[in-house]
Amino acid sequence: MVDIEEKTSDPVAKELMEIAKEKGLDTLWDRLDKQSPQCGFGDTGLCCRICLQGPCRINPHGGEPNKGVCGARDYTIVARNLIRMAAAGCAAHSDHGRHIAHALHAVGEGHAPAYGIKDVEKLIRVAGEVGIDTDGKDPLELARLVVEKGFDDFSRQTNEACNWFKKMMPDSMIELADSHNVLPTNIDRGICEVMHRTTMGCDADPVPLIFGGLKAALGDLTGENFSTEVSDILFGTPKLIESVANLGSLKEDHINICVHGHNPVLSEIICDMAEDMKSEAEAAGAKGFNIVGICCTANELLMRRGIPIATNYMIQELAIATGVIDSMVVDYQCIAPSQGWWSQCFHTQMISTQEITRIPGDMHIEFHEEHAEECARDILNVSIDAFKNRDPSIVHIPKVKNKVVAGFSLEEVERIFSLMNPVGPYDYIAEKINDGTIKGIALLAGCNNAKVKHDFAHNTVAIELAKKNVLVLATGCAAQSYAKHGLLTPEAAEKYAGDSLKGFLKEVGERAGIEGGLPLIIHMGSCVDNSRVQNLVSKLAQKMNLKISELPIVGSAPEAMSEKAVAIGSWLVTTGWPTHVGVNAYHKGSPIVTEIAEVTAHDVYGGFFVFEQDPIEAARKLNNIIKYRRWRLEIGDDSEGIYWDGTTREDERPKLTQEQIFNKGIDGAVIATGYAEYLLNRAITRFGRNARIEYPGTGYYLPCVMAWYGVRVETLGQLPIILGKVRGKINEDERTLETAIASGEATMIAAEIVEAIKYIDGKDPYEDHPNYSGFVSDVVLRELGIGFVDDTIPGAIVLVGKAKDSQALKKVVRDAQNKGMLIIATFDIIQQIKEAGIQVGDKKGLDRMLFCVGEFTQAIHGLSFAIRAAMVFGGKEPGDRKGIYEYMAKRPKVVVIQLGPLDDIKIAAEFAVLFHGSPTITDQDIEEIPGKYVMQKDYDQIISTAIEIRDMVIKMGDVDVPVAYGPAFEGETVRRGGMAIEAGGASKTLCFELCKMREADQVEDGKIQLIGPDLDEMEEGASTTLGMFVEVYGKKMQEDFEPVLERRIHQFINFAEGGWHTGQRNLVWIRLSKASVKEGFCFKHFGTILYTMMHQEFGAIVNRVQVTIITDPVELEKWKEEAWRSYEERDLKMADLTDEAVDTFYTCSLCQSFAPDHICIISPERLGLCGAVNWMDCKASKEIAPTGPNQPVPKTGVIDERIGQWEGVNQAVREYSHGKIEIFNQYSLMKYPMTSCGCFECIVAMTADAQGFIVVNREYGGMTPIGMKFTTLAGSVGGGKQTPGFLGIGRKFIVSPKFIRAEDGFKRLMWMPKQLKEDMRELMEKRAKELGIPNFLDKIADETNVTDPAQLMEWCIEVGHPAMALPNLMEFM
Amino acid sequence: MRQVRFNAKLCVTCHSCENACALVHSEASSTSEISQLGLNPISRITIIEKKGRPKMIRCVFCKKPKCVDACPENAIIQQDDGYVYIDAKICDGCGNCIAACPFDAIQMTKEGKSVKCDLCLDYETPVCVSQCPTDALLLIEKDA
Repeated sequence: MVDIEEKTSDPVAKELMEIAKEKGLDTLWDRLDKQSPQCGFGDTGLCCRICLQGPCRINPHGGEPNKGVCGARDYTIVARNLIRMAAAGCAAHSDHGRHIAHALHAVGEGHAPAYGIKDVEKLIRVAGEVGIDTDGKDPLELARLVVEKGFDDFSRQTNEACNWFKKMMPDSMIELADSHNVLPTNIDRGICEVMHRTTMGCDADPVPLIFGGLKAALGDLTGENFSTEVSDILFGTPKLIESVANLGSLKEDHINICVHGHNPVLSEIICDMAEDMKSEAEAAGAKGFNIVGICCTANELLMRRGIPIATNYMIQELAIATGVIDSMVVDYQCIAPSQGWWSQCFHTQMISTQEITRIPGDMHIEFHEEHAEECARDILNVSIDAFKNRDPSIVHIPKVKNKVVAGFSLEEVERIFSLMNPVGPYDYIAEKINDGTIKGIALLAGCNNAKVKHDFAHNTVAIELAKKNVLVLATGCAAQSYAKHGLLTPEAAEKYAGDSLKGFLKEVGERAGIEGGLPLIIHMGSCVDNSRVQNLVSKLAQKMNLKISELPIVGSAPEAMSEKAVAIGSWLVTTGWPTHVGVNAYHKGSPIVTEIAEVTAHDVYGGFFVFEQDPIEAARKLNNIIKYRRWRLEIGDDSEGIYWDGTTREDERPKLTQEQIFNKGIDGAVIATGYAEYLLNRAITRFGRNARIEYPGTGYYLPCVMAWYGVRVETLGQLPIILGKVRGKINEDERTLETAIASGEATMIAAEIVEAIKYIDGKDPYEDHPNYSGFVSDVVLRELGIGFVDDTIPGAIVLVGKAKDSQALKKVVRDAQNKGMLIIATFDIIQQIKEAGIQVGDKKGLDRMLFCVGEFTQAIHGLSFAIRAAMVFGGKEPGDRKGIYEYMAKRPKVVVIQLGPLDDIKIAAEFAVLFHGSPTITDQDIEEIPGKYVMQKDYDQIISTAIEIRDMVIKMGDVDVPVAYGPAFEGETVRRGGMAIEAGGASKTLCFELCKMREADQVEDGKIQLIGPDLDEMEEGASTTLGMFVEVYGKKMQEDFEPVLERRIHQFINFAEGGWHTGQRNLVWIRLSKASVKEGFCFKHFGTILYTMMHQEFGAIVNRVQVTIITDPVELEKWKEEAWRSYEERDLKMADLTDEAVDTFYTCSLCQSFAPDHICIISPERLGLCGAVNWMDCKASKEIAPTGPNQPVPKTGVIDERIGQWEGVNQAVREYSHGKIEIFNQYSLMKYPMTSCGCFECIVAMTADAQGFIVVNREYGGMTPIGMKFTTLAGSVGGGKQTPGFLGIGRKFIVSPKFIRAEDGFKRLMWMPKQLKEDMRELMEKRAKELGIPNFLDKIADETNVTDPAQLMEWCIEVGHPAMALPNLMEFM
Repeated sequence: MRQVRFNAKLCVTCHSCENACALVHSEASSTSEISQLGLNPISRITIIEKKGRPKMIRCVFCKKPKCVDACPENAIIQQDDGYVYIDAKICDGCGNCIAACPFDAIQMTKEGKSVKCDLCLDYETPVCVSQCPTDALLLIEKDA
């Protein structure tokens, strides 16, 4: 005999166990004891009996046998078994619903005289919701029509969603289900599909198997929803009601009839008839009938009639031991077969009533709704007979009976909450969740299980949640546990609820007229009535404009037992609920299935399973999850140290061995590819093979696919073969570093496909997302190009997961920013960055090198960004796998920083990155893979570890200012609203800057002076005069270099976070942001910045630097004269500085670290194509770094002056392009033109008629009249190749006299984007005037008047474009 | 002498060893034949759970076997190499050995004979070892 105290917290059990012991009867617990230890293969789900070659068993310890006879692996067997359970659960719930629907239909047809339509209002409403025109139809007709709509959900052969699914779900959920092919279209078919899918020789892939199960599970939800609604129509929608619970509800002087099971269709009539037959009971010596219930039949009757709950599943046997139950009337589900022999040992008459449920030892009175009354009468008569046989000497009714407040149907809940807020019930709930009065909502559901301490787990989890102010809703045997223990009362609320919840329950309840307030736990009905909760949450989500998966909600089945619980748990997870289950679900034999249930489900659906046997521990996690979700919604306190799954950073996590890391990487690839494949084929079904698939703003199609396979993917139909091939690279049987890295390739392609599907037919899935950027366009890459190549950006870090706290993360991010690194942020880190107060701007970080790409597969956007560098700058041919790999292994220098718990998908993604030669650093406990997967728990050391592991060259020194400083902030703008102070520009105050060379004794190195007031004496939002003067001395300094140094002031000030600088000389415009000033940033720091950066960048030519910052207007005037004179002198000098005037050009090979074969030739009249380097810069640079990227090129040996070809230049180009380029023309576009690296500002391209050129700048995202966007054009220009007809240039080159002089470049300009034209207007008009072309700018078309080649030709003829008179460009080839 | 070593870490409590043992010590040739023939064979080994871990109850071949001393008929014999066996021809089913065994390793058959693990000497490998699907049982050689 078992120790009952350890088995249950129900106080009735102990005394009744004594009786059982005397009679020699064993209980569920005893039989569990006899079964123990239970077979480990079954327990882990690794026993397969699906075909007759079995039973097959997989060794759960990883050894042989690791496959069944047919070859099924652990995950195949576990997943098949599991989804068969879900399908069975779905069958039970939906068949229950169908059964009641038949009764309602019979009512409609007049064949069921015992029944009526009790809730006509609901009937009409439901009819309307499923699209029935209710006008002029009587209730009987409507009932038939509604039921027939429901029958459609069991028989539909097309792909529309089930009516009862569609009507309860937000659009976002329907789309999620549809895109993931889990949309229920026909409940029976979902079950059938599972049985087919799992039969011998069908699906063996874990993801499709599980998704197939989820489809059946959503069918279960559909069936439940249908069931609840037809029950309400037929028997009435529950309203607030009081009753009692536990075995104390049995009455010695009454005939006790215990109804047990789930379906109210018979028991309702028994209740009706019991009133009719009261006299017959009295005739037998009883005071009447006392009907009580067990399991959900009890819940149904309690909710609608106030019938007491006798007990729940676990005590169904011991209830008989009271000796006072005269008949046990069962319908179906959760009837223990032991009821048969238990009732035989007492006078109790066991009566089974359903065709599909017969118990040996029973009397079978089969129930049919056509003659329901006769059945009920028979049952009551049999009960009277049994009563006569009762042995009064053994009657033992435990004195335990508790008050119950129940009846909370959805309608009743809505009515009650409407009393609080006339706008609507959900407005009220939303308000209370938002203000934290209630932290969240929990659904406590499910069964009893002999393996779990009975009722104890239910009560513990519920109370622990309520203590933390979570509103607890309950159904099923969970609700009965609370009923029996007095927790469905206002008194329990007083005792257990947290303060704010207590106040809430009291206030709402009293308004609704319940004395003492609402009960601690809200009883919403039977297990099919979980649909009521789902409806509630669904409406709440729509009211709050959120997805269900974003709400602070949790589900829990602490004592789950039935297959129905597997189905419910599965749909809870699919619809976005974190769901706790207190037992294991025969899933542990497969790490992959466990991972999908516990982790991947969260990434895909938002919901996930939490398997936890200890109820206290479970409640802790659930409360944490609510906290986490509130944090995500920004309505809660912080969630520091709490991860999405409710675990915390203090929780012990076993150290991962290398072998486990490989396993997880490979398992992750299996999951990722299975997932991608499922989604892909669903998308093909929905949108067709020819649906266009394209990322916005790239000329590289799906970049990873293009880079590695050379395939230009344009339609969905191309993808299955690509995915299929890469999937074949996963080697599950050999798990080593090599195979794990190889499987990373598959993960990469899978992720790219999953993301690309979201962009189908030109959709931008992240357009409206507040935080996530998704795909990063080519433009961003090209803009950053120069920074990458000159090492201003030493590398990129990809932040994955969630940091231990946001302040620690802030330090990492700041550290990286100060070193100039590009940061790609994913998962919770994005929100932590916001929380830490790091500005990401209004472009989701894209303009400040802090790309917030998103979560899960969205991380691929980081990789696809990096991989394009190989094609954009490296000139690697798509499909040149070796070339791509070699390039990627060297640059860009990427390091993944994985913070927080590791999971399969994350590790698989990290192997995908490792496949490109980039390592991962983690703060988790692991056995390191040296150089590839390393550990660094000290956040202060993470960035330096990253630098070491990749040998990054850090150019940025420390600049001692109170704000972050680095290239990340170059692109940020300070808008008026966020501005603390401004100078120059629109404010029209005097503002200028100057760099001057001085004698040694005139410059005191390090002297930083501020003349005039600093920010602390200025008003916020005001404007000021400002001057910045840099005086330098150096032996190698020349006067010519002054403007070179001065021009950099712009960049140096912009590098400061919150510092904004545009223009130069006396046209400077400066702003400082409020945020930066708050951090302590002020004008004095300009001195620090300029001093430090001048030394850092020009240390080779300047030895002393002295900075003077002036805000005092009188002092400033004193500098004016010298400055104006300097500007004038320089202009005069520059005017004389032509290509002809010098004998030396310069090379610029700055980009060669990225584009190894490209070489720029820079002359006074042709600046670098990046727009950042001119001839004077090169000259200075040569002084600074004699062997650096800018080498002099002698202009010797003229070959053709007009076209710009010299022997000396040819030689230099040949040398620096490593022999790739033989001949080079400085002024031609048609013949041997300059190559490009990829970071050009503009592209010049020949028009279709070869008469002229168009110019397009990289900021312009639209179409050009040569049929290509900038991104596509750029793809054909970059990578160090000569491409006649196409040229990358710096925008200022357009107005140079040398601009494609050989082909009369300027005169041939036919089209340019409007914005570019406006920006360049002044300079272009000047140039046109020099060439003597009147009104030339008006003859250049833009996107507002010309969009295609034909239009362009018409335009040119119409305006009389000068290019039309020039020879055709092909003649120059 | 051969011995069987039990590794609790690898045992999944599937009871395959018990089934195999019962079968090999019966007249049936398959598990299904056991019910056809109406047999009621006894496994000489039992898997139980103790403190949350699997445990195997089986004759450990004590150096000084209490069962040998307890047997009034001298039906239990210890060989020089340490092997202990029950001679079914002599055993009269008094049950003294069962009471004496500190490991609960001896059982009584329906026919009234004491039985215990005989290490399947007729087989190359004891069937419990060969039938264990997770290698939780291992055949080893041990000196007397």
